[in-house]
Amino acid sequence: MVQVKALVTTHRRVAGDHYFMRLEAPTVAQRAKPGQFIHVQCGDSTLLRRPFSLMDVDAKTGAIDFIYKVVGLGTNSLTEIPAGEKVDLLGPLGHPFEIPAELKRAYLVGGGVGIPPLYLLAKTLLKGHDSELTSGAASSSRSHGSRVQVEAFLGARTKGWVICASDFRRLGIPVHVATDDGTLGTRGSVVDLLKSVVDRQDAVLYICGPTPMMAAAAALTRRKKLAAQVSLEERMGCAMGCCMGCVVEIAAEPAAAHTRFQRVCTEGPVFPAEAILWK
Amino acid sequence: MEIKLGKLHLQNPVMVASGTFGYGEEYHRLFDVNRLGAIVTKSISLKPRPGNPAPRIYETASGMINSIGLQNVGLEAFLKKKMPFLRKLKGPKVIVNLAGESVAEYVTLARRLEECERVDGLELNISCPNCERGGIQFGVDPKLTADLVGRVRRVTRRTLIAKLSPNVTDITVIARAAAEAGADALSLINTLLAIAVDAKRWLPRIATVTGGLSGPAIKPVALRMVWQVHRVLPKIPLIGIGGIMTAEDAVEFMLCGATAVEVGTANYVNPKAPLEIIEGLKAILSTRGLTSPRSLVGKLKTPQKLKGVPQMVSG
Repeated sequence: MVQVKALVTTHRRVAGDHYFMRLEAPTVAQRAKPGQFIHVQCGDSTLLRRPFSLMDVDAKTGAIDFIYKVVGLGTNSLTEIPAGEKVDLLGPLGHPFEIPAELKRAYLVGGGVGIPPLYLLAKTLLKGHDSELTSGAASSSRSHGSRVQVEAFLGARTKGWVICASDFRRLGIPVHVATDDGTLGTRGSVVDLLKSVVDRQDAVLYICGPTPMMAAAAALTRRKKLAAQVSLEERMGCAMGCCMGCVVEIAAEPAAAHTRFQRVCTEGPVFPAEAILWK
Repeated sequence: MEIKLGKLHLQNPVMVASGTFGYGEEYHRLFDVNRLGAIVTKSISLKPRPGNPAPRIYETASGMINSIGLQNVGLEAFLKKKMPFLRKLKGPKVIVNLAGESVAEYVTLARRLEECERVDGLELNISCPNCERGGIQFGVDPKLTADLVGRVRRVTRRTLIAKLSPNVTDITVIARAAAEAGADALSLINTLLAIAVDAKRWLPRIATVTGGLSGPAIKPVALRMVWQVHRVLPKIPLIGIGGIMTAEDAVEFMLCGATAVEVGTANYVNPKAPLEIIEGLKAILSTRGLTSPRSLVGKLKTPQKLKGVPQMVSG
């Protein structure tokens, strides 16, 4: 993890209130794993940094990409930083998606601005993840193993907000879409799309989106006894594990009192879906 | 840059505030924490504490509200897992912040830490606004403050600091009680009790409704309280806390009477803020031809006799 002033090389609106930002941050690009995030100083109008999960990294060019949605003062202030300026960031941070050694099939389930981090995961899975991403034993079996079957399930409020669908298609993976208003793909929740595929017991679901959507997906995978990982979002202070501000309540009986609440910045943002106490 | 705080000699007057810097190790990934004047640990309680429900933090104008609820690993895990790193540090003094539910708990904590060689000082948290029984019950009552500080004083030879709450009518009363009971120094202020509201959903932004306000928003209040206490108790060293982001902020606190400062919320904004404050302070002193930060303490130029302003000085 490093603190750097990173040059903004691309910054544009992609859909609705969603913006794409590319930064030059070679150290972060070399070290980041799918599911990790950066903590960005968004300008002078806010005090605290804002966390953004990485959508893509390029170790060769040093580029890191993320997409954010304008939801408040911080993200609004970020929109005003043009290409050519620098932003102060910390990263890469957090516990990444876990890729089991014997993974055969991965269903990536994204909602709204939760979709982009799944793109870096998809790319990594298709590449045949390297040793950095897994434990030693896992990486050796992976190098002999077959390719992982990856499918994407993307949901959003309306057609224009289904971000990254074309990026996933360019990777050559099947993309299933649901919109709340039915303007693209199936009408309804992306969780409904899963019901037809969740009988595949060899699949691992990777889920990132609004909390109600993740809770519904988690309930489904629990019923079907499928392995699932969720990437959570929470307001953060330090993002370094110190302030204890960004916690989530754990469902499992904790080993010790002080582990009932775990930090999204450190133990997360990726947790096993069954670990979370969904409300 | 060296200063004296009770029995302790700090290499510089810049400390990091409890709860904002973990146990030192976390920030050591980003910079050499050996350069700090002192590290004040996250509050330690006798038993591990789960803390308060989420959401726990919310940003407000020039500040933030938190209600963490003293989530911490507890004394035993602190000694086993967190002390080894702190023990190795060469530069900064190690101050352990203590939070108890009863006088007996504070005394037990202080006794155990008395056996721990690298612990240089104790900061008594008698001001956490987010727990019914996390210290503030002592910090708002001069008699309870005196009793607690006195009882801990009897079991420790370490530099003893009482961290005061601003959530009182007259902070000088509590300050005097702590000083007379044997505190070597006072740190002030802890956070101000506050609320943030979501007007669209008619909900509080913090799960416990109230939380503690910190950051630049509280600096003027903190300066006023440091100044008030220094006027009444000029001999006891004060550690100024409250929205210190820059070296100039630190200078302001020193002019009002602080011997040292603790940097808190700024650590979240810029993890290297304490280092920048140390360097900035050096530069400010040298520009003025001063050799020691002590030359700044209490040097605020005020009229000899203040007329027509509320004094709030306790008898």
